[in-house]
Amino acid sequence: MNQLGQNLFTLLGILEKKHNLTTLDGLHRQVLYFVMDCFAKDGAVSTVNVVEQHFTSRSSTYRKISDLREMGFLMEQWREGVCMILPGPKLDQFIAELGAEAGHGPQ
Amino acid sequence: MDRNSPKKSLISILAIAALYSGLMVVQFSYLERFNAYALASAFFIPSSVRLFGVLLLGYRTGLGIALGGLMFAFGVNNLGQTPEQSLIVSLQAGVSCSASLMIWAFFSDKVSGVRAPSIAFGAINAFDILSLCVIQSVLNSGMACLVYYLLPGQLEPVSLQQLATMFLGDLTGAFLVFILLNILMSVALRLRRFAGRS
Repeated sequence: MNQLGQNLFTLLGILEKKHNLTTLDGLHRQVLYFVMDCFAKDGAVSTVNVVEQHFTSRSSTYRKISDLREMGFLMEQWREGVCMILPGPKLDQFIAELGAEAGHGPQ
Repeated sequence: MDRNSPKKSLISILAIAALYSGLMVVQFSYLERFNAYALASAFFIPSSVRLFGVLLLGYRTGLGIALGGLMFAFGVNNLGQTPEQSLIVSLQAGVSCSASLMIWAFFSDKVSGVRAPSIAFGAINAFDILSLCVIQSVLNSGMACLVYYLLPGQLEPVSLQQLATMFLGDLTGAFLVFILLNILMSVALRLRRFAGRS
């Protein structure tokens, strides 16, 4: 029955998965994960770096970053004509939730 | 309990039958305006049960559909058919339902195995669903019109327009309901997420 429920949930989420209708799904997550990886490696990432990943179109990528900023996951700061992305106030909470979902603490 | 245990199969067949006959009641009570012919509607919502049934429960859905059709015909509304005609029409609906899964499994690269199809749910998209809907609609409308034509004491004169209406009704009934349920799911997820944030 659990498997049946999961399959039904997948079927009813096909458009959701395809078009990323909800916040923080699909491309939002891809952008956020990329930014988090950059924080972990270099500690610095700009909006241009994200656009260059070609997750989606340029305008759509900027919109995703803007959404994430409005939700408090990211912040933006202009440095020498480059828009740098910084961790937002809600990012720590998100990382903790990810750890909880995976069944272990944040890494 | 094993997913394919007789008890579980019986429960799923009965559930499909109840849902199918329930939607038949809704169709012939509240959506009659879509009925261009006595037995052909341009928007036939019970076909959504066929779609979700074969995807989730496989071939046994055909039995549920046939049983549901009989429950509706003998318990609610026989649509002017004799008991023999009702039996044949219900069986046809069940057979075309299961046969559609077999054809889809044969052609789709997202389904492995024809005897016991295993669907890669994570990989299928809206176009896969649409292709299954088209197969179901072609099979059901074609077989139904053939049955209407061949049955002794014809149910109603079979025409190309009736066939087209039936095809359209099966297609819209299944695919539009699928889209609608997807949208409702998206709305529900959004509401839950926003509620969780506030």
